[in-house]
Amino acid sequence: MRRWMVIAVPYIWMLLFFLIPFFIVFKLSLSDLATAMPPYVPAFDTSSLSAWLASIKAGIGQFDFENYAFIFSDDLYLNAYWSSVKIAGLATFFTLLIAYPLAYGMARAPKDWQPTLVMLVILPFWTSFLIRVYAWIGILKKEGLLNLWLMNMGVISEPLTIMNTTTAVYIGIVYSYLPFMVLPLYASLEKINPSLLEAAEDLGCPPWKAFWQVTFPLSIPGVIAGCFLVFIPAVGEFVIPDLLGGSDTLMIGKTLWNEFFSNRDWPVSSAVAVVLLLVLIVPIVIFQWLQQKQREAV
Amino acid sequence: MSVATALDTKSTTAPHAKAGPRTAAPQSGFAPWKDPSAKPIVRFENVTKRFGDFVAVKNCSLDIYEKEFFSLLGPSGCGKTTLLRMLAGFETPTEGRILVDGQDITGLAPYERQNINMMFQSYALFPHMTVEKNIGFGLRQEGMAAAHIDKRVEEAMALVELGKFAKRRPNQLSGGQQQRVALARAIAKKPRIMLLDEPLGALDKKLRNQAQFELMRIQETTGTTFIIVTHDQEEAMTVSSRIGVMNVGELVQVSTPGEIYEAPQSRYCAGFIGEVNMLEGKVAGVADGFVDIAAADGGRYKARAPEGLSTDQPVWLAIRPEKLRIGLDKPDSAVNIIPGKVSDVGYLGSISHYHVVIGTGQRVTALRANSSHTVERPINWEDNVWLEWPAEAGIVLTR
Amino acid sequence: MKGRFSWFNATSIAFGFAFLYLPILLLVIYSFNDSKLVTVWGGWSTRWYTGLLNNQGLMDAAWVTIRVALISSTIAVVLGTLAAIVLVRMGRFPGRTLFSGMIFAPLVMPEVITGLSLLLLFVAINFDRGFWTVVLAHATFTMCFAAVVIQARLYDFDKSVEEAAMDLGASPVSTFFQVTLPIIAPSVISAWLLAFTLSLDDLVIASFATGPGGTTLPMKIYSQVRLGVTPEINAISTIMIALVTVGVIIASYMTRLSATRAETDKRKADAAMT
Repeated sequence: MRRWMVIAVPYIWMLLFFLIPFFIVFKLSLSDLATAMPPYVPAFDTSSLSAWLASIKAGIGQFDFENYAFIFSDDLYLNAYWSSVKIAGLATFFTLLIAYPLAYGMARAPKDWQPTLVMLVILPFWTSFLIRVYAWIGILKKEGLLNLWLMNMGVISEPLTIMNTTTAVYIGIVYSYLPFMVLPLYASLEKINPSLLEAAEDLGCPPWKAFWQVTFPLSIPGVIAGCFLVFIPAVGEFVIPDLLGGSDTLMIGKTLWNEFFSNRDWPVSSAVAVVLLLVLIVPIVIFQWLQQKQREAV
Repeated sequence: MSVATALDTKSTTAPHAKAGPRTAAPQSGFAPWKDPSAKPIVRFENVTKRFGDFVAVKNCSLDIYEKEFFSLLGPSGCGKTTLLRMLAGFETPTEGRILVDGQDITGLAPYERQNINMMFQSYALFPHMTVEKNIGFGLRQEGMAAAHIDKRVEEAMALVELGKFAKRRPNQLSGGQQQRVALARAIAKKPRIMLLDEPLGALDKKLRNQAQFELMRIQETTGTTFIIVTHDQEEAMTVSSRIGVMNVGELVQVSTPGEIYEAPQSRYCAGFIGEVNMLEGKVAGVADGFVDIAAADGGRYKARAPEGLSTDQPVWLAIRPEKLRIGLDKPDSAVNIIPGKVSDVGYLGSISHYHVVIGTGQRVTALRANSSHTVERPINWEDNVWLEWPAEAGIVLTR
Repeated sequence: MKGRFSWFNATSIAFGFAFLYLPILLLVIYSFNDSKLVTVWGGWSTRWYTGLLNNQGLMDAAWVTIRVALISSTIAVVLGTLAAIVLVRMGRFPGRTLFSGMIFAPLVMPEVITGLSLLLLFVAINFDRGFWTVVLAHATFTMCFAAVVIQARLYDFDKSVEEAAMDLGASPVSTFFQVTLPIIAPSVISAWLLAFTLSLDDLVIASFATGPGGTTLPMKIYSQVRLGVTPEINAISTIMIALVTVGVIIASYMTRLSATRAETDKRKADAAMT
């Protein structure tokens, strides 16, 4: 019936362009490198049916976990995974610290201001991500605006080296992902009934305590959603560590890119991608589960 | 008992009802359900609807005739809306069939049911279309010519008195105006069967009474069969040619308003419509078409006997408050009398309600018109009184 | 929640927005700097903007980017609407969990993974990489965002108008186009805008999926940025920011305009009733 057609179109598209590619990545991660273009050993010879079957057999026989062994043996990759998780985790925390007061202020603002404030938070998101990261280069570099300003103010006498360090990466991640943290936080803070706080105060609770005992716990769904929306993509982030980070800033997104474009080693890149996916699979599944629960609660 | 008398009785019990209301259906001659050769326009045949474990409609069979104004009446959750939606095509019966003009329409989708149109409880007006476009929507689906559509839309708007709002959008109309647009939109297609789901529920009291008569006028003018779902028993009594009372998925009784009021077939129906006093007892004997009831409080009651009574069968005697005569002196008769003490008097100008506590501790309500020539002194709180009623006034119920 | 809007609240908002907007503001200002260096202010000049027009590489890339964005976002919105309908209206069917997983995963998936997997797909099926592979790649990942926006709207949608339409004789397909779509149109449009922006902005996925003829503006900007900061980049960035800002302002003005118009009409109707 027509119902199946409506389901089929997006379903098949996603199977074709999302799911099957993952299987190809996995398959490639088990293959060997070759210098021909594309740089991997083509697995299937489709010249005739018997040749195809033979090549499948040969292909499967060729499958091994060589690339994975390579990744796990080399410190570079292990450090890169661990470093990515660490940096993304810390950056998520900093983003939360900056986003929370902003979201809280927005939720407390007069009602007619709020749509405008939300729009102002979203607006930078509409402008190019790349451009905004690029803007920080001009600010953070040795001859950049920040150093200029600080030196003019007399706060420092020597220019700070922030550019091309991990610190710049933190600034970049916090800056770029801020809207992703602010919006879910604002959404859950805005829902809180002000009479709850009034009740707390009436029962003898000073405002700062009321915040920790009433407001913050009620905003936790927003906190969690925001953290997932920042942490998961930040682990695999490429542009920010590449443009703002230094050679000692190890992030797995950059490693994967280099492996692919510079070393032209597609099988190893695939293996790196698969392991990255495994690292993230737990948070992704939890995120999906939270989304599902939220939709069912409505 | 004719519809007119029942409504007259209603107007003494409910002082806010109109004086001399119009009868619902065309005058008391209209009773196609009594004609054995008449074919029903809608027939529900053993229809059951289950939602998982929950049975919303249990084995309902019902015939509705052309030009009726039929009400499905019951509390929320009784299955009346489900029954209506099955007729419209939005739910499919789990068991049973639905026939329109003898044709089985059970499997048809809503847009394939050409003669049936529905007016929704929430009105469901298309917010992005003007009133005109809303009303003309159904006609456009039929592929009617534009000029013809315009004419029909004008007619529909005139029928519901909405003329000057043609170019407005639904969000610019009041609740009452939106309700009329919803009605006009369904009526414009000139369906043979109109379904109305709680059409007056969202209106305030004043508008509601007016709207009831509007609906009746439109039904009579167009000659359409109206099937309305409502939980408001006054509404059902005012507009209907017949009422189908439902409880927990079952059709408990299908009768005219007068029959339901004066001859309910169960305690549920008796209690659902209007006020009633229910006295318990056991059958002591049956003679000459009258039953002798031994009451729980020791008295003896006499009433018309229904079929199939057996001795010692527990029965209930239902008496409407306006049928009880209340007085300070003991009546001459020995049957159908009860002594009691007045606990409350509600004086409403033209009538008075008396709440009387009788021997068993039960509270009984009596109603009396305050006519000017009364022999006795007015009845007050704490008075010891006697209640009396004629044998024909009591209704014997076995379930 | 409302409540006392304290000084602390006002300051946090001010600092938050300053943090968000300062880099952008600086970018725009320095696009007008006559000097190439950030440390030296050479006076106001538009030479970098005129220089842009002569930079054929950048202009070509901009044109490719716009075409890719237009085509892919339109595909994404159509697919996203279908996906949203499936998620909200089609109830339970075998494979539903997988489907919803596939729709929501790209929202958080690192782009390097999505990009790599798409590239490998194109190689495996021997599809020549270039303009169209970028379009397909963008359509795939932006469709998920479109689906999320539209399904949120469909969730709140009052189904009784659809039932009314069907009762009056419209088939399900007809009902969708005559009733549902016009009502959810604002969400569909914002989903389109979202997909458009995501495509316009994307670097990583485009880099993986591209080939000859598929060089996008972000890719071009990225390659130039690696070599060093040039104010031409500032200029093109300012243009893009200006376009987006104008677009958002027009959109919010139009929304407010239609809201006030509806309000005035309603007040006239109320007055006419009394």
